[in-house]
Amino acid sequence: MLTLKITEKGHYIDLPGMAPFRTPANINVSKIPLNVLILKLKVYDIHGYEIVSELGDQKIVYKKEELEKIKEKDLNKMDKKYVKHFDKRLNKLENMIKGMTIPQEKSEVNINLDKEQIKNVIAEMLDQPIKKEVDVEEDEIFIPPVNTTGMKLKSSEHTIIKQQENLEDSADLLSEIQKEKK
Amino acid sequence: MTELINMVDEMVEKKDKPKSKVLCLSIDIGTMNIVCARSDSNDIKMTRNVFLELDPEIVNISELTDISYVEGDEGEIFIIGEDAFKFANIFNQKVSRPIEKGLISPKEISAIDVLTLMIKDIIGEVRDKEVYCSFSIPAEAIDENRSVSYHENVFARILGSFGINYTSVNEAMAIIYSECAKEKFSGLAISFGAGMANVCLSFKGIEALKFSTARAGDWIDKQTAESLNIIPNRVTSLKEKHIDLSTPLGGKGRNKKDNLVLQALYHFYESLINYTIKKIIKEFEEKVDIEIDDSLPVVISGGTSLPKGFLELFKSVLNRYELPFEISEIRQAKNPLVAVANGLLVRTMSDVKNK
Repeated sequence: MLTLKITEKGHYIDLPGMAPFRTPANINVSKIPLNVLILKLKVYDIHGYEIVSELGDQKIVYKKEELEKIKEKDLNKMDKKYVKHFDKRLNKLENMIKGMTIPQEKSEVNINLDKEQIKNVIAEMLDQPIKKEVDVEEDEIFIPPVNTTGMKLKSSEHTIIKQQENLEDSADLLSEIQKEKK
Repeated sequence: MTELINMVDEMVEKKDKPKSKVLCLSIDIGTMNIVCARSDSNDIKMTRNVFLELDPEIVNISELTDISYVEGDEGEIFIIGEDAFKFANIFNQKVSRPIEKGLISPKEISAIDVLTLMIKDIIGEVRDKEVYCSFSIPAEAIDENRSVSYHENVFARILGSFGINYTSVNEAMAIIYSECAKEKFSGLAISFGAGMANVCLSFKGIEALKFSTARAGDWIDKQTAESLNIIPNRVTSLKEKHIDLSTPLGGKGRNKKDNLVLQALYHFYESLINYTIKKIIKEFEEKVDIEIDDSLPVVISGGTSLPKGFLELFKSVLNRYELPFEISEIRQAKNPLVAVANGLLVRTMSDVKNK
């Protein structure tokens, strides 16, 4: 088992194939290729770390300095899959930022309203209910974005099971019970 | 400016459209299968929750006729569903399972995007409809420290991206909705799936106790394989073809070696049931405050409860214990593979009625 020990505080780390975490941390990194791991730690500018390798009773501690002796060319031999993954995420981020900004030089008037306000004004004009954005407390858990742009699905048939139950009666009964509870 | 014009056009178009029809949906996202039921159809759709990434240099897309697959934005090919197993055997690869022990796997980088398309495909057409959906989530496991919140939020985000109104519902509670209407939604439901066993005690439609354990069908296969030093796939294959729990021999295989595997499987089925019942008693004693005077039915469901003789084995193990409430009946769900999806649909329809 390979354990990564980061002593530096205050970093928010996102390693491939793992849920993001905050430092200081002690985590199992056996499933992450070592070169990817060192590269990621370099990117996050983390200096205070060591990797502990445990095999049975044997325990070897690799300090950061020793690990960085790995030649630059070895670091470049990253798994194709991870390179693709990083590229994909960078593209997604780029598109998100593009979508958030309206290029100033293209707009005829510098509108001093944000997109949401404009949407509400138009909705009022069209007598549509205005959807208010509710302030949601920021979730601690990182939920990856869903983006299937550019992906295609070709589907053949699914297994089909014929419905044998009359679910409508059960739904009526449940609805009555739930109403009583209220 | 163009963006604004498009936005206005879109909103005017929406205003002119006739009011959409309400559609109720359910999606049971399990370790082994994804099952979807719709209020406008008598067909319940089911697909294997697995995929296999293939090197596009090995396989040409034009060769994949009658095969379900996803083509990634960089030309990657993911064979999805049952076909993934066939290709895994051909190319001697291991299939990827987006769900591991009942929860979304953090190991699979491509899992969420592929799962999104698989779910979109199984749901089918929802255009111009106001769609409401309940999806299944497991309860927190008492024997493993894994959070359900991440799993729940990922599926909420997937359904939200299709413009669907969603609610998450506990998997075992869904069995109560589908199987215990005659008891006014009171009962103890146990869903023996592939990755987890989910338990829920409901009293008149209120969840009194819910939990899950990380021991279920995959655990049986793994333990059997480790005990006899054989690969788990071989155990799974024998289990699916020959297991018969009405005899302690576990059924009859083709040879002596198969028979040994079947006997081991019987032992671990019994051990799984024992473990789950012990946990039910312990959790009830520690967490349930209410006195239950009525006798309640025990309903068992899930793919692991499918083998011949499972219900009888369950009854005989349960007889060794005294549950903290009276049991009126021990029965199996009418169709253990679709009981959760049906229960979720009952819940969606009920919620829509009460809107």
